[in-house]
This record gives sequence, structure tokens and C-alpha cells, in this order.
Amino acid sequence: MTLATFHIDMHDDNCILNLAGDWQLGQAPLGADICAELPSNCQSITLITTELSHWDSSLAIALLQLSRWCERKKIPLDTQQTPQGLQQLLQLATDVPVYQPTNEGAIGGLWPTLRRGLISQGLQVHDGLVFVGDCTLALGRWLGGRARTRRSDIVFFIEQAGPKGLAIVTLISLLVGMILAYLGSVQLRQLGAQVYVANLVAIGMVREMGALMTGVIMAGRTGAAYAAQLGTMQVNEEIDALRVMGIPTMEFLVLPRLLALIFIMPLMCIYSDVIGMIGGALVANGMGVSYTQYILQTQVAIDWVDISTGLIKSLIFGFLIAIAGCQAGLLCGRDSNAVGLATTHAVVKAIVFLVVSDAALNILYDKLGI
Amino acid sequence: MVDDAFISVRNLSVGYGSTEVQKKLNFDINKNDIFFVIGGSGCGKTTLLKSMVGLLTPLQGEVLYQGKNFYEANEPEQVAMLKDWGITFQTGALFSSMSLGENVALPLQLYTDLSERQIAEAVAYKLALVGLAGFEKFYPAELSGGMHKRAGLARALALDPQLLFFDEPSAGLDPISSMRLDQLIVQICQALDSTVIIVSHELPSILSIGTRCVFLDNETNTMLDCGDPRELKIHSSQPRVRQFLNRTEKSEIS
Ligand SMILES: Nc1ncnc2c1ncn2[C@@H]1O[C@H](COP(=O)(O)OP(=O)(O)OP(=O)(O)O)[C@@H](O)[C@H]1O
Ligand SMILES: [Mg+2]
Repeated sequence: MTLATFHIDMHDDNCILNLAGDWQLGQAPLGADICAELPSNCQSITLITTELSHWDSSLAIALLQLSRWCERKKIPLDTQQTPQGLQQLLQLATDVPVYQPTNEGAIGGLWPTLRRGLISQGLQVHDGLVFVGDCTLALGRWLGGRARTRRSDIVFFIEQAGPKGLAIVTLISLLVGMILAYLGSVQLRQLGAQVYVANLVAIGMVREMGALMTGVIMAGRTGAAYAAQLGTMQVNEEIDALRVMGIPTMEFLVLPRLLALIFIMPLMCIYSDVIGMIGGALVANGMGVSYTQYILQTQVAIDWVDISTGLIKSLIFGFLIAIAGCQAGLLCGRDSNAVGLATTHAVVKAIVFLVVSDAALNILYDKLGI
Repeated sequence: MVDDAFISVRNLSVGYGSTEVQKKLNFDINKNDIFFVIGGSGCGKTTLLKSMVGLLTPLQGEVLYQGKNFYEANEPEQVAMLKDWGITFQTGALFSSMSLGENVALPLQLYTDLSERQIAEAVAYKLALVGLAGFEKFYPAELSGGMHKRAGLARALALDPQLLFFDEPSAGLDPISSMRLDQLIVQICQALDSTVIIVSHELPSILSIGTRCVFLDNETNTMLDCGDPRELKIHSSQPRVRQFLNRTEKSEIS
């Protein structure tokens, strides 16, 4: 194998470019290198390939660059003496002009960037509020029996969010109950009041942790799934297909998911409360509080008001998780990265929503004295 | 049948699970052939192609590439074979999170030790070949359907493959682009010494550039005929093949 070379001969203004040797991908000179060697005074270029042995697309690659260079400099390029196949490949590569983008993209600089950032943040908040509004309206239409929502979809999503998520909710709630009990017992033992562990666990689970922990689990499990499902539908143009069929995405895609979560979350919350208290009882029992004592103490500790404060929280959490997941999915871009981003956004947003709304509700409950 | 064929398909059955989509396929593909796989929609052309490129294990029989069976080869051999192949999918299958330039550059980066500059020039050339010069920075989502197809082609051509598989490359292209594509395929076969296997419904291309073709049938789930499409158009013993190649109604062919 001989090395691929090029040789330049000047005849007056005409430049004879002699391409020789074995042109193989990776071992051949670059088009840019050839162009750099060409003298500035050349008025025309003639290619000769008499000493060329074997060649592959590396030769065509270099010649495309050369021909573009010639075009820019308005120098004629004569390829008559090159192999027929090469000429045709070059022809194919050059007969569609290079695409020239019309706008040069966004303007840089501190203020324009900052301004764009602020506007887009503002728009996001605006879009979020519009989405919540649309959702509420759709919910209203559903209650009025006028929404195009398939019952089978609702059942499907309830099954996905509920029974299939029981195992993880059981595990987490049991452990949270036990953690609460341990935490309390260390303090209460000093006062000889271990039995009040039951109060601590019951109030903690029912008013706070039951709803919050199921919320976090649902955000990671179900909210993320919603975002990924809708995002993939966006990428596959399925959502466009629904739009042109005149089917409102809000009623067809968002509502079943929203309803499923609103329905499932309070149930999950009650389940989590009970499991948490069982966890607490196990720990308390290890510290000498009998199960009967624990149950009696629990009955004293909480009433229906406590239970409903937790249930209201879980209802609101369900709504927020579904909103965060569905909105992230529907706003998803059109590539595989965007689906990942949408999922991340859904979970992060849902958790922020959870904590913020939880704080707000606690303040509200306090003001109302419940 | 000669045993030194470039590719030989022997008693091949392809399908999914227990459903046979096509069975008892026997044909040869020679070096530098432009080989068309034709047949009605849903007859199993894509399935056959998937089995040939190693994505779907055949239910029975084998495909031999110069005597070698892909599914029985060990991993380094498989990688070496795949490096020599260029494949386009019916839907484009571009990596949506990469720009066109990155899509085409990927095989070059993974399989060759070309420098950044060499890769950039090669990418510019491959995109120019399919009429997408200057679109390096675009993302798949910003392109039209036909542009997807052509970009997929540029990616398949990146490594100057010896063997090219195209699944309906001209579906969704305008007549001019489709004609350029035909020229491109002929040039690749001649100048770069490749062999091309194409699934296509495009009668004009089949008849103008095809050197051989195989007809897969919907009803009997097997191939009906194999040979030069221009020959088959007139002389095929199978009415359905003539009907397909002449684009006529059933009743007109007796
Ligand atoms: N992943 C799959 N699992 C099961 N069956 C499949 C799968 N993909 C395709 N099929 C079935 O295999 C048959 C052949 O499909 P294939 O995609 O090969 O058709 P085709 O000839 O390429 O059609 P077209 O010209 O429309 O692309 C069809 O009946 C289809 O239903
Ligand atoms: Mg197909």
C-alpha cells in the first residue's frame, strides 16, 4: 500500500492537483489541508488521478471540501480526468446547495439573557396556573357527566396506582411508624411515660406522616410514570393525533389519571396510618407497653377531626402530584432526553408542591384551631 | 444454487414467538447486487430484514454471509460483521437527543480512530450525499419525515459499509429525491463496491436499478419467485408476481 498524497503543480495560473496513492479513510489528507496548500494566485484547478491506485469515500470527502472552497473563491474546478464513479459521487454531493440558516439565533449579553430567563419563568408560572384551571374545569365537566373520559382508563389507573403500590406503602409506613415510636420513647422514658408513645405515633401518622409519606411514594412512583407516559406519547406524536381528532387531552389523558390519584390517595393514606400505628405498637411493646394499653391510648389520642385533616391533605396531595406529572408530560419536548427531563421535573415539582402545601395547610389548621 | 454466493438464505423461517410470518425462504444474493425485497404491506419484509441483520433470531434455517452465520458467530465476529453493514430503519430511528451531525459521527467515533477534523469532513460529505448539506446542527425533531429518512441513510453510510440494508428508503420522498437516492445506491454499489438489500414498493426504482428481487407473498406466507425484476415482470410463472410488478388488477392477469 502506498501512502495517499497530493501534489500541486502550477502552470501559469492553472493549478494541476495530482492525487496519488491509496486513499483510505483515516490515512488520507483532509480537504482542508489541500485547500490550505493551494497558492492564492491560482485561477483554475485541474485534477489528475493518473497515479491514483485504490480509493474509497475519503477521496470524495476531500474533494467535496475542495469543490466548496473553489465555489467560495469562484475558481473553476476541472474533474474530467478523475474516475467516473468519483465524478458522479461528487455530483450527487454538490447538486443540493448547502443549507444556510436564515436567523442567527438569540442575541447574547447579560440583560437580554436575564430578560428571557425572567419571561420564561413568568410564563411557566402562568402556564402552571392555566393548567390547574383547565384541570378543574375538566373535573367539573366530568362531574356533570359531560367529559370524554373512558371509565376503563380510570379503572386501569386506579389499579396501577393503588393495589400495585401497596407493598411499598406498607414497608415505608411500617418503618416510619417505628421510627416515630423510637424517637418518642427515648424522650418519654425519661419521664416514665412510655405509654404516650401511642399518642405520638397516632397523631404523627394521622395528621402528618401518613399523607406525606404516601404522597412522596406516589410522586416517585405514579407521578413519574404519568410524566414518562405522556412524554413518550408526545415524542410519538400520539398527542398530536388526539388533538386533530378533536379529543381534548385534558379530558382523555389527564382526567383519568387525576381522578385515579384523587380516589386512591385518601385510601392509601388511611392504610398507611394503620400500618404506621402497627409499627409503633411493635416498638412500644418491646418497651413494655402492652397491645391493649396501646390501642386504648390510641383511641383517646385521636378523633375524627385529626383523621379528616390527614385525609384532606392526601386529597390535595393527590391532585398536586397528578397535576405535576401530567403537566410535565404534556410539555415534554420531542426527544428521548426530554422524556427524562419531564420525569425529573414531575417528581421534583411534586415534592416541592407537597411540602409547601403541607406547611400551608398546617398553618391553616392552626389558625382554625383544629 | 451456488455455495459461494455473497449471502445465501437457506430454508429460512422468520416470525415472532410461535407465529411464522414467512417460511421456507431460499435465495442467494451476489456481490454488488441491488437486491429488492418486495411484497404486499404486512407480508413480513421488515421481519425478514430484522432476521438478516441480527435483531430477530430466525425460527428455522439460516442466513449465511460468505458462509458465516451471524447468530452462531462469537461476539468479536458479530461486531466485525456489523461494522461492515449499514442499516436504515423504516422510521428513521435517529437518536433524538443528538444532532444530525452527531448521529452520523457516532459510528465513526466508535469504530474508527479518525480525528475530530476528519470526522467533521466525513460527516459533511455524507450529509451532502443525501442532500442535507448544512444540516449538521439540526435535531431530528426539527426535520421533516423525508429528511429523517435521508439522515438515517447518511448514518448508515458513515463507515462505507460493504453491505447495506434499507427498509423502504424512498417512502415519503419526493420523486426527485427518490431518483437521487436511486443514483446514490447505484454509485455506492459501483464506486464503493457494496451490496445493497432494499425493501421497497417503488416500482420505477425496482425496475430501473434492481438487479434481483424476491417476492414475499401474504397468503401463502412464503416467497413466490426470485430473479431479475425486469424478467419477472414478463416471464414470472406466478400471476401475483406479474400483477405486482405490472401494477394491475387481479382479473387482468389470467
Ligand atoms: N413485534 C412483533 N410481534 C408480533 N408480530 C409482529 C411484530 N412486528 C410485526 N408483526 C407481524 O408480522 C407481520 C409482518 O410484519 P412486517 O413489519 O414484517 O411487515 P412488512 O412486510 O414490513 O410491511 P410494510 O410493508 O407495511 O412495512 C405482520 O402481520 C405483523 O402483524
Ligand atoms: Mg416494513
